[in-house]
Amino acid sequence: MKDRSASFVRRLLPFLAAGALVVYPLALPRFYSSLAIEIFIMALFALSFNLMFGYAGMLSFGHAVFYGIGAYTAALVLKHAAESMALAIACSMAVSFVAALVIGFICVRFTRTYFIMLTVAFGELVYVIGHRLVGVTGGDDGLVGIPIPQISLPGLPVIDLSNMRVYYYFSLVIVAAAAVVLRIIVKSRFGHVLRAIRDSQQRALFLGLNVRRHLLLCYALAGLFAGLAGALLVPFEGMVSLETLHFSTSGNPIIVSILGGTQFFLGPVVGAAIFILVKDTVQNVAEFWMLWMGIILVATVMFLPGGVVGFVARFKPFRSAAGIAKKEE
Amino acid sequence: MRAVAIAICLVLVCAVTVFAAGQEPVKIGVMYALSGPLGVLGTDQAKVSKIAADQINKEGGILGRPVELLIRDDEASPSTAARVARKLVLEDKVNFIVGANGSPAGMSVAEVASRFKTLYLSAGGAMTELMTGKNCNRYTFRINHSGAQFYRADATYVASTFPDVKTVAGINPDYSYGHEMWDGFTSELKKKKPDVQVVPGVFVPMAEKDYTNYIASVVDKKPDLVYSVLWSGSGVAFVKQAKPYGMFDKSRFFLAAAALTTAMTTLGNDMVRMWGSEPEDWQMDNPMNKRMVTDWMKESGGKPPHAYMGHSYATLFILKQVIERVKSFDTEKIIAGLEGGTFDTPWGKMTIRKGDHQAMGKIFIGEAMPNPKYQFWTLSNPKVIPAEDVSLPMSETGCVMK
Amino acid sequence: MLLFLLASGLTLIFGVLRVINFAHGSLYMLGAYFTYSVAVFSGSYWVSLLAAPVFVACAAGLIERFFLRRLYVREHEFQLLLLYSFVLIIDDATKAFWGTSIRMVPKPAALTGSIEILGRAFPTYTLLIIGLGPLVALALFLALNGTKIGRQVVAASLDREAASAVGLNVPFLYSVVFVFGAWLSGVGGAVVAPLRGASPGMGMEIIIMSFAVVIVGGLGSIWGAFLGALLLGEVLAFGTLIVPNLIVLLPYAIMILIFLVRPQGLLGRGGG
Repeated sequence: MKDRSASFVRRLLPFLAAGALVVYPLALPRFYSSLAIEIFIMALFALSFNLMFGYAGMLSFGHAVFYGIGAYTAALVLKHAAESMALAIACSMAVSFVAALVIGFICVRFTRTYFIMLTVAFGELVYVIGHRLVGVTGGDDGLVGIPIPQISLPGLPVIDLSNMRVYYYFSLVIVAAAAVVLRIIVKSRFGHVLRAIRDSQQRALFLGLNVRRHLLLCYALAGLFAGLAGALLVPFEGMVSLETLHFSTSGNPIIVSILGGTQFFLGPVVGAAIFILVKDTVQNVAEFWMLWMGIILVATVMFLPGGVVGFVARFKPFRSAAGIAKKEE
Repeated sequence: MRAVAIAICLVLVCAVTVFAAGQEPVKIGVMYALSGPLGVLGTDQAKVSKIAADQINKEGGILGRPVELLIRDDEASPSTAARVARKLVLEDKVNFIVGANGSPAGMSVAEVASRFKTLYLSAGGAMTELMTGKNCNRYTFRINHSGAQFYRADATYVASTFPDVKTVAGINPDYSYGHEMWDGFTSELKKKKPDVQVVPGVFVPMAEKDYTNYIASVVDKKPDLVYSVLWSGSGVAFVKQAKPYGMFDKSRFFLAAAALTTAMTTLGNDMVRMWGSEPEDWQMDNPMNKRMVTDWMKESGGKPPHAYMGHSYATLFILKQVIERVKSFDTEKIIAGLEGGTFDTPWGKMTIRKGDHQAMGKIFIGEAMPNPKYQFWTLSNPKVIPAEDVSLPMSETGCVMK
Repeated sequence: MLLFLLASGLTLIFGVLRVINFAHGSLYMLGAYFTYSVAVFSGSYWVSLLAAPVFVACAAGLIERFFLRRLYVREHEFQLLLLYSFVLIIDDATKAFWGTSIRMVPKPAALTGSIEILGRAFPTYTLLIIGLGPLVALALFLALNGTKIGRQVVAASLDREAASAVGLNVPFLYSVVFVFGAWLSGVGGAVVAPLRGASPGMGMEIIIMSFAVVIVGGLGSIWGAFLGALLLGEVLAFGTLIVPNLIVLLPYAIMILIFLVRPQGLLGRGGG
């Protein structure tokens, strides 16, 4: 009896979760939709980072570069080219991908410490360039006055992306789709090779694998999805600022992934939810939420190397829930 | 029996709701830079806003409703300001937003105001042309000056008061405001004095705290006049760091657009000879001004208001005046009341131009002098220029109000 | 030369512990804030110059002993992440404790004013900071090569296992190096406090420039850090006069260039 009801619950869980996600914005005031949208964007940003770190072992402290490039590209497209979200997203992904190929080409040649320092260097370089290119980025003022597009699909009512609740569904769909694609990448042969490289670059080399090419492609894909996350930021905030390129923004996906658990596919998603929720809760009572985030992170690094998902997965009754996060071998 | 009980409960609930609505506070989001180099001004602006709110509430609030201030730090950063403004509108459900220090933050809030149709009154010194120019919107009103009002007044003053000036250099913050002011000032000055030599402007990043290299490059050029709009804490830091280099002995220093009074009240013994232009004159003799100054000096321990503090104070009273005039809290009615309306302020009566929502205040220009009555220097015998005389005509603003 | 104080600590820590101390900038900031507090409490800048770096060193010691040390057996990345977490903690705790406005520290009376060199006025204080650099570099060099503990530190950095096998207390040496590097940061903060005050975010501002110096000079080389600080300092100073709009780019462009051309830096030992 117990077995049958347990497996029934396990199969029902995804449907319940999906149902909750659908009903959520309708049941609650706009503010909660905006909170959820922040989580979706952060989750995608972190998922893109974890492709590099959790699966390929590359710790980049400069991932904000592609997030920011994606955001600015989308903003510029919407402002100067056409008020089309599809075009903005496509351009963002393309430009971020190319940028990641260029920067990645230089970075993946190095390992560990040198790789990290190089990503920091590029992060700062791009930030400073962005700061100087006032004509393009608006400098310290940022880009304001970005028209928020509407989507007109034949046969459907016009989708107004400036509406918080509408944007919730839009970003949910995009992020979910991106997550599915990332899952396919990770489960593929390419993903397996990445993991082999992560575990031992030398062994991978001996096996005849082209380590550099795999890492470069991984880095570029991570950049592409970070760019997509940046693009999603634009209609949400209505503006883009240099903060998207800042070193501290690079730290966010790292914090989030560690928090959730880098060895789990959905770890970053869980981490993103925790991160945004803690931030919002603490900000209402105290100003210094980064302090608490730092403390939580120290605790996680010291005692929970598997992140929250890793911790929860240890307990049998939660295995089914954690199973959705699917542990990677 | 049950029906009667339910009916009584319903009546009680209705009564309480109606009563509560009458007492429901008017929530005003107050955003200023409470941290960072610009935090010197922002924290004071927030404090003086509280003083204004307390006075309004003592006099019965606005149309009987008490004023509740939600004070937030915008960090003078556009991204923080956007996030804070959005939260104020969506989560805290404020009726109005006032403030925002600096043009980047101000523009961000203006965007949020327009998107969520909430009224925003800029009072923190966001002086970029864009706010009442290309990016003007129906829900944004600028109570503080526009940069153009200042640089045009400054150029007029410099041309007439310092006829011997041959070389002009500038050191300004490196963002839209700094560039607009420098470009504007130099072009207006050249119109009046075509023979003046303008040295390429030096610009300092907003976050920069070490001015050493920049100071050296300005001093090098041996200018007769140095024009600067480095405001709040950055102006103070600059003067302190530049003093040992002898900049102020060799050149006339013009600290424009509301930067001077902050320097005067904060520098103490580090004060040097300088001129400047200000949006207010706290020594003016009228009841509203006197009440503000007295209450503020009590709070600050004897220091006068500086920069745009009077505007922060006045903005809340302007809201009270307009709401009581149109007898409603309806946004559209208030917009109609603000457009072209004339209001009492600590510096006299002030009108808000309908076409671009820009307030027409006064500009006070003069030299800073040690004042025997106080521990600090003050603006002595300033020349008063009405903003109407130096504002950009509507045709030149580029504002198309939708 | 301020950069050198930080870069030398950074490169020393990396040379021995093989970890980039992300928290280095935050320790520098703590140095400035401690200087402010001690100066206010004692009324003397000189007292704070002595005391503040010691407080910073203690804080660093606590971090190393109770947190970092437990992660030596784990992967590199965890140590970095731990240090980054402490950046978040220290930066925010500083804001909570000292407030968010800039805390000015008055210059000691003896050092205000300026000295005329070649017809131009230079603030005395700035000149002293410049002079400090070579002094510290020399002191470090002598300490590492001349003292017993210095040589032990060098040994541990060359080969941890061999040093341990020979009987050296490696964990203790690691602590010594980390604490000493932090102390140097603290001195940097104490020295800069009268010039620019203590402000939140000052740690972030200087850390990345310090990384650039260390990379250019070569990770693990003290003289390299000196050279790097000199080079980048000059580049910045002259750049402001010539191409003020682009100078901010130069340190990072140089850093990347070095990576491409000579990854071990100007004076570093080879290898990644």
